[in-house]
Amino acid sequence: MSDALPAAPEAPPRTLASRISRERSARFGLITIATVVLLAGAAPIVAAITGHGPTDQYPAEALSEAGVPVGPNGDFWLGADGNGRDVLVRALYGARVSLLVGIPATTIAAVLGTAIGVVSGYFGGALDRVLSQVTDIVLSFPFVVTALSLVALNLGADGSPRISPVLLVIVVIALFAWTYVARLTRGLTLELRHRPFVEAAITLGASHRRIILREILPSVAPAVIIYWAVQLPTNIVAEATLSFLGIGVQAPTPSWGNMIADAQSTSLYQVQPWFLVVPAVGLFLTVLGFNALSSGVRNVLDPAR
Amino acid sequence: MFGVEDLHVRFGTAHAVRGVSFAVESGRTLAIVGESGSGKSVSLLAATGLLGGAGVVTGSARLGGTELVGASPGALRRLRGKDIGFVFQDPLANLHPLKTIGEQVGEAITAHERVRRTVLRRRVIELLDEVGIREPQRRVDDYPVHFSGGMRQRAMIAAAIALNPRLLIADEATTALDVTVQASILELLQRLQREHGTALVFVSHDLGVVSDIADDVVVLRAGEVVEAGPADRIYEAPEHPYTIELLSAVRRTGAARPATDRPRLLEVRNLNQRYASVTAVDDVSFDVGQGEIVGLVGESGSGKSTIGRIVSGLLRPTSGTVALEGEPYGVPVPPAIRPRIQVVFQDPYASLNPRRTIRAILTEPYAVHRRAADLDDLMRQVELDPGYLERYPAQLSGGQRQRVAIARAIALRPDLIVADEPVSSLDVTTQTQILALLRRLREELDTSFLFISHDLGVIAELCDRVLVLANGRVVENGPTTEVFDSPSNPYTRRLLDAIPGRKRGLVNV
Amino acid sequence: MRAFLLRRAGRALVTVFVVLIATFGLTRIAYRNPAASLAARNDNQQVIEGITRALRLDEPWYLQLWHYLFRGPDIQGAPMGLFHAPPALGYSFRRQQPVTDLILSKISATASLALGALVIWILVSILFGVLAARRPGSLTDRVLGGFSYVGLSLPTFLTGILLSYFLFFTLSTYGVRWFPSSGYVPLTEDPFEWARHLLLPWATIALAEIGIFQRVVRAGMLDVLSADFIRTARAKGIPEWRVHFDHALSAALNPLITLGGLELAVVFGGAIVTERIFGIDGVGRLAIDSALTGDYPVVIGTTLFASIVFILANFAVDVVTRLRDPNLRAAEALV
Repeated sequence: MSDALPAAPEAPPRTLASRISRERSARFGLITIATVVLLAGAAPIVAAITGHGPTDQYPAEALSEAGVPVGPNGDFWLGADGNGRDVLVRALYGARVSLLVGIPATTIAAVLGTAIGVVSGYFGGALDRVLSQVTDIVLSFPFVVTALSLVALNLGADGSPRISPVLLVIVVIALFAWTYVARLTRGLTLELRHRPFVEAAITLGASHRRIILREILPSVAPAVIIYWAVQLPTNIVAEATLSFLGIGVQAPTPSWGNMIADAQSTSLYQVQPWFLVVPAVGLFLTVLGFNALSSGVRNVLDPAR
Repeated sequence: MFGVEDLHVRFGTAHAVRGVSFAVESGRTLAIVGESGSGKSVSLLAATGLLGGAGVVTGSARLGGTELVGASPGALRRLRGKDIGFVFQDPLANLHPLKTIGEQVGEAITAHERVRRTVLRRRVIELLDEVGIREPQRRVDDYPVHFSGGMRQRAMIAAAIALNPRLLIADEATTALDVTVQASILELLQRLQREHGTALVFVSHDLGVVSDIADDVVVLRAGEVVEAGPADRIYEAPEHPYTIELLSAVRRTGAARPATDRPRLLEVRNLNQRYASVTAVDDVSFDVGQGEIVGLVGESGSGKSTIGRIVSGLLRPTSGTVALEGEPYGVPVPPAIRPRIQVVFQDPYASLNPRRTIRAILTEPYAVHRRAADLDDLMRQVELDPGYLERYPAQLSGGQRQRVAIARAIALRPDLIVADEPVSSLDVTTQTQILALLRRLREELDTSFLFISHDLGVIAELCDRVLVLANGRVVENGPTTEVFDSPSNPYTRRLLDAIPGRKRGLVNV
Repeated sequence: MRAFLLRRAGRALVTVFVVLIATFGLTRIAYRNPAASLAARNDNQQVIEGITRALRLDEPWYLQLWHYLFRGPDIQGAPMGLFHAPPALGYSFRRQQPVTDLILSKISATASLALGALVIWILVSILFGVLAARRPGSLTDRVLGGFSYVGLSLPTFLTGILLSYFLFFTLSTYGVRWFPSSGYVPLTEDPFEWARHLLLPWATIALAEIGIFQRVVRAGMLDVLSADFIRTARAKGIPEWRVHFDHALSAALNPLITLGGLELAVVFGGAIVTERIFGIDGVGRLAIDSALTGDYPVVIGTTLFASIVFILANFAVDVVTRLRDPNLRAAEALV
C-alpha cells in the first residue's frame, strides 16, 4: 500500500456528545440527572403553588392528634414530616442543597487536585516529595471527625457560625476530595512524562509551561473529567452523611441528609414512611443517576473496559 | 498433516481472511509471510480457536484427520498444547509476570495429564535443558523478569513442545529478539523439528528471516494468498509483483555515499553513562560530519539508544562531552543550539500527541521558535498530501505518521537529526519508502543524521559510516562498505553472520 | 528492599507527626473553654480551675504541645505523654479515663466490624467481578453491575436504616427474630451471638464496598484478559475457569490489594455511621460522641488513631505489593 500523495480520505463525523447520548447507562444517567436538576430548579415554583415554604410548619393541618404526620393528600402532595412541614417542598429544596454543595465542591477539588498532581508529577524531585507528603497527610485525616472539628472552628464567639454552613460544607468536602484527584493526576503525569510525544516537545525546545499546558493537561483532562463525574455522587453522599450526623447543613434548612436523620430519630416513620422515603429515594436516584452517567461516559471514552 | 482450505474469517463486515489455503507435512517447515493486516496470524488463531469467539470462521482446517473449523471449544482446547504447540512474538508479554518459569512450563503438561509434583519438576527441568537453558535446576524457580529475551523465548518453546505436539506454530517468534539471539532461536527450532519430526508453521513479516528455515512459502496480502510454492522457487524466481516487492525490500544493498572529508559537526568525547550496577555507555567517542549519515548499530543493551538520548539532549551523561560545531551542550540544551538538533523517534504513534491534529503538531516547532510556517510545503517535502493536516494521528497509517514525525524534525532546518530506530516499527515495504525519503532529504537539506538501529540491513542501505556498539563500547568504526566487507572485530563478524537471508544471498553487503 | 522500607517508614513518621500537630492545633482553636466542657456536668468553678491547671490550658500553645508529647497532665502523680512507654494520648475528664484505655477498650468492636465486613466484601466482589468479566455485556454482567450500582449509590446511613427496618423491624412484626436491632457481643463471650449481632452492620458496610470493588475487579480482569499471556495460557490448553481464576485474577490483584487496604483503614478508623445506627460501641462512636461534646483529648486521640491505622495500612499495602511482584524487586536492583 503506497502512501505517498493520495488525497486525504473523508473522516465520518462522530461527535463525542452523540456517542455519549447513545450509550445506555449514560442516557439513563442523563435523564435522571436532568429530572433532578429540573425539580431542584422548580423548588420555589412548587413552594409558591402549594403555599408552603421549606421551613414553614403547619402542625394543625399536617399532624394528627397523636402527632402522626399526614400522608400524601391534596394539600401536602407528598405528605408532611414530624414537624408539620411539607415534604415535597423540603425535598426539592434538599435537591438544591445536594447539587449546590456537590458540584462546586467536586469542581474545586478537581481543579486544585489537578494543579497539584500535575506539577508534582512533572517536576519530580523535592517538589514532588513535599507535595506528596502533604497529600499523604491530608488523606490520613479521618473525614467525619475532622469535619466536625472544622465545624466547631467555624463557630464564632457567640456560638453562631461565621460563614454559612453550606459554604463550610463545600470547603470541607473539597479540602478532602482534592487529594484523590492529585494522586490520580500525579500518576498519569509521571507516566506521560516519559512518553515520546512529550520528549518530542522537549527536543523542540518547548518551555515547561508550554509542555504542561499543551501536552500533559489535554491528555490528563479526560481522566479528570471522568473522575469528576465519579466523585460527584460520592461528595453528595458525603454532604448527606454530614447533614445526617448533624454537622453539615443545619436544621431547619432542608438537606436530604438531615431530613432522613429527622425521620429516623423518631419512630414515626415506621407508621408513616413517606417523610423518610421521599428524601431517601431522592438521594438514591440522584446518586445512582450520576454513577450511571459517569460509567456511561467512561464506557465511551475508554471502550477497552 | 496440517492443512487449511478455503478458510474465511469475518469480523462483522471486515473480511480478514479470504479463502486462504495452505498445508504442511510432518518434519517440514511452512513459512507464512505477509505484512500487517495480511491475515497471517488471524488465520492460524481462528483455525485453532484462539480468537476468543470474536470472528466467524468458515472453510476447513484439518489436523491429521480431525476437522478444526466448527469443532467444539472443548475439543479444540484438548488439542491445544498437546497436539499443537504455540510460540508467540513477545516473550515478556506472553509469560505470566507472577509465575515462575517452572510453573509456566509445568502447567502446559498438567493441562492435559495428571503428573505427580516430583515427576513434573523433573520433566520440566529436562525440557529447559533441551531448549538450551543453562543450569535448569536452578533457573526453574526464577521469574520471567530474571531471564533475558532469548532465554524467555526458549522457555516458551519448552512449554510449547512439552507434550511433543505434531504441529508447532511460531508466530513472529523471533521478531522481538536481537539478531544474534534470533539466529540461535531459529537454530533451536530447526533442531527440535529434526529430533521430533514436528511440522513447523513459521509466521513472519520478513522474508529474510524465514529464508534460512523454510521448505515452503506462502505469501499473504490483505487476507488472500498471493503466491505459494517451494522456498527455492519463491526466492529464486518469484512471480507475483507483491512477492517481488517484498523480496527487494529485504535485499539490502549498500547505497551509501563514499565517505569524503566533511567539516566536523558533532563531537562526542569520552561519553560515560553509569547506573547503580550497570554501565550503559563506556567511554564512547566519535564524530559526525556535516551532511553525513552515521549509523549506530548494536543489540539491546549495547548503549546505542542511550547515546542517542544524550546527543538529543534528553539525558545527562555521567561524564563526557558532546559539542555541536565546537559548542558543548548538556541538559537542558541552550536555546541557541536546541533547534539545530532534532529527533525522530521509533514509535510514530507514541511520538505524536494523539489528541492534536497534524496541523497543530507541525505548527508547534514554528510556534515555539516564533518562525513563519509553510505547512503545505512541509507536507509536500515528506510526500504527504496537505489534506492530511486536519486529521488526527489515529487516522494515519504507520508510515504516514512517521512522515509527519520526520516533517516535524526537519521543520526547524536542523543541522543534525537523531533518528532512533525510525523504521523498526514499520512494515518492510514501508521501510523502504521511508529510507528513500531520508536519503532524499539528506541530499536536499544537507542534514546530518545519527541513525540508530539494530537492523544491519537498514544501516547498510542508508549510512555512510557506521559504529558498532557492544556492551556500551565502540567495537568498530568506519565507512559502511568497509565494515561490512571486512570487519575487524569478531563481534561485528558474528553480527553479520547472524543476518538472516545470507544463506540465500539475500544480503549484498 | 531495605532502602525502600526505610524511606517509606520515614515518610510515615513525618505524616503522623504533622497530623498530630495539626489535630492538636485544630482542636485547641476549635473548642472554646475546654475546661468547662471537659469537666463533669456539675463540677464547680474550683474544679474547672483545677482542670485548667492540670491540663495547663493557661499556658501558651507550644508548651501545651510539649506537655502533650512528653509530660501530659499529671493525674494522680503519674506523668503521661505521647513519647512515653506506654504512649498515653491524654486524659478524658468527661469519662474519667485515660484516652488510650478508652480507645483500647473499643477496638475489639471496631475491629470485628471492619475485618468481618472486609472478608465478606472481598469474597463477594471477587466472585461477582470475575463472573461479570467472563462475559462482558451479558445478562450476568448487567445484573451484577446493577447490584453494584445500587450498593454504590446507597449512603451507608441509608443502607443501615433500610436493613434495620426491613430485616429487623418488619421481620419482628412477623415474629421472626433473626437479626437483633443493635448492640455488640464480644467474640470471646459468645461467637454465635457475636456474629448474629454483626450481620446487619457487616452487610451495611459490605454493600457499599462491594459497589466499589466489584467494578474494580471487573475492570482489572477485563484489562488482564486482553493480555498476551492469557492467550498463551489458552494456547496451552488450560481450562477456561482456571485461566480466569488463576492466571487473570492473580495478575489483576494488585490494585485490589491497594484499594482494599485503604478502605479497610477508613472503616477501621471510624465506621461512625454504622456504629451509631446499630449501637456498636466502637472507636467511631467514641470519636463522634467526643467531638459533639467537646471532649477534645479524645478527639485528638481518635483522630490520631485513625491516621495511624491509615498510615500503617498504606505501608502494609506497599510492602505486600512489592513482595508479591518479582518485577518490582528486580527493577530495584538495577536502579
